[in-house]
Amino acid sequence: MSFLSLAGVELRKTRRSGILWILVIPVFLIWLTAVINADINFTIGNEGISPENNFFIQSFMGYAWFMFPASIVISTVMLVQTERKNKGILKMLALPVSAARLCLVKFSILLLLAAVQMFFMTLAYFPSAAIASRIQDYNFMLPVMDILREAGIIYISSIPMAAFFWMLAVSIQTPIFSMGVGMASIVPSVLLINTKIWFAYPMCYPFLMAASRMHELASNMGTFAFELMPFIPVAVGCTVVCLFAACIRFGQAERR
Amino acid sequence: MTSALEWNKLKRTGFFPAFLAGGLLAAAAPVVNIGARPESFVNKQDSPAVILMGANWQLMSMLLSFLLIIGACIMYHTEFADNAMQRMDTLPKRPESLFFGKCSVLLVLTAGALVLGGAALWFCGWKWFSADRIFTTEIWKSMGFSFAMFLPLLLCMTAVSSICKNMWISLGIGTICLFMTSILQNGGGILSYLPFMMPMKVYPNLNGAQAVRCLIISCGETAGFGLLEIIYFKIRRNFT
Repeated sequence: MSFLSLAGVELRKTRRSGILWILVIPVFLIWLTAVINADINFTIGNEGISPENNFFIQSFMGYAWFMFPASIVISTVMLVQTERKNKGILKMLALPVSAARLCLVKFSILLLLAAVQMFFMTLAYFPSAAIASRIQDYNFMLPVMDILREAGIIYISSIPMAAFFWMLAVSIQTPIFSMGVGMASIVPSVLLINTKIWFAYPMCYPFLMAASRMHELASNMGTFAFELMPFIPVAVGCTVVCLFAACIRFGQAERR
Repeated sequence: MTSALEWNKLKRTGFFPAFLAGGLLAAAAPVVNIGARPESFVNKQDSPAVILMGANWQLMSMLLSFLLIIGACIMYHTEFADNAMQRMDTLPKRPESLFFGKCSVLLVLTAGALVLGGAALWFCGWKWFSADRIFTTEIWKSMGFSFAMFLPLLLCMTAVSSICKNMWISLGIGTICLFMTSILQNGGGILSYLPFMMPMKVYPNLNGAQAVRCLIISCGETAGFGLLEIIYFKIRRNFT
């Protein structure tokens, strides 16, 4: 079976999982609270950030810190548990398809689900900014390219994290540990972006990207530049190692 | 008897080591936070309990809430996976007793995790603030108060997991609610009494009347969720 037809099969499996609701509802809640509290953007004093930039970046920061990584963990739980239920994974492993390819197809579905959520997050910005502009009588709308660029950067920076979460979900058979380690690793990313070894912690990349943009937009907050040099090789290395480990471990417990 | 059965079932799910690890992680938070930069905390004017709880409780309560959410999801997942639930339904046992059995196990483990957290806070007070007996009483009162604040979340999440057969849905609902607390925590009013917001309350910052109001609301919400769950089971019985 080709990669694409396998991906089609996987997508069909996720159709009735209800995961789309879990991905879309937080996006709706984020923008709803942002619109309701839009007046707070005018009282931000010392940072030197304009209300429209603050409206945009605060919501994206909250999303990149917590909800986006947590949604990836939830999606890994969904991808693994749909196969374990009724021993579906045994049937999949009986197919003339290599386990590593199956693992990579599932990882690509995970990336697709993350992309779907990011797409909704970006898409929902425009009506939210329009409604907030209408209510506050102030233009909150930013250029489309700025929003797309930021969403793209946050998404791409989350790939190593997704690979790490996927490795956890595949390697750790006990779901409480794979979920627990995944969720617990999200919380300290706020602390880790301020350390010198932030690049060794893939879970903080998306939040770092959003925080860095926040510092660019706020004239009084100084810069939060990051060096690309140890970051890019470490991120690529981490992705490759995690995917390699996941491919080796995929289906190993069931084959035993 | 149901509680004893629940303990037995959970033995091989990694539930107890996970709670121990989660409790230790939450307990490590204040020790690492204060230990890394004691000078930022010891010179403050407030009482040690206010400083320690103010600096650490948000992170600790968030980790403990995550632990409870995941714990509640796993408890019912073990029933729904491989259709064990159908076997449970054939036993001469009411689903309500299964639900409250699971809640009682979670209650004991939450208390255990809070004891670890309280011990860590007490250690910080003893090491860096040379704290006295008043501080010790204050910390253990805070932990007792927080235990009552965790009750609505505990019942709410166990109820959600008993309704959702797929673990990712219950985990998703819990995570979304927890995420909303991080957005809403600065706002006051009625929203701060939502079940997921209650554990964030810091006991030493509340005056007597506020603490009593929180306790009453917490008990009310807990009883409300228990009642709703019983009604849900009664309705479900008519359709299965």
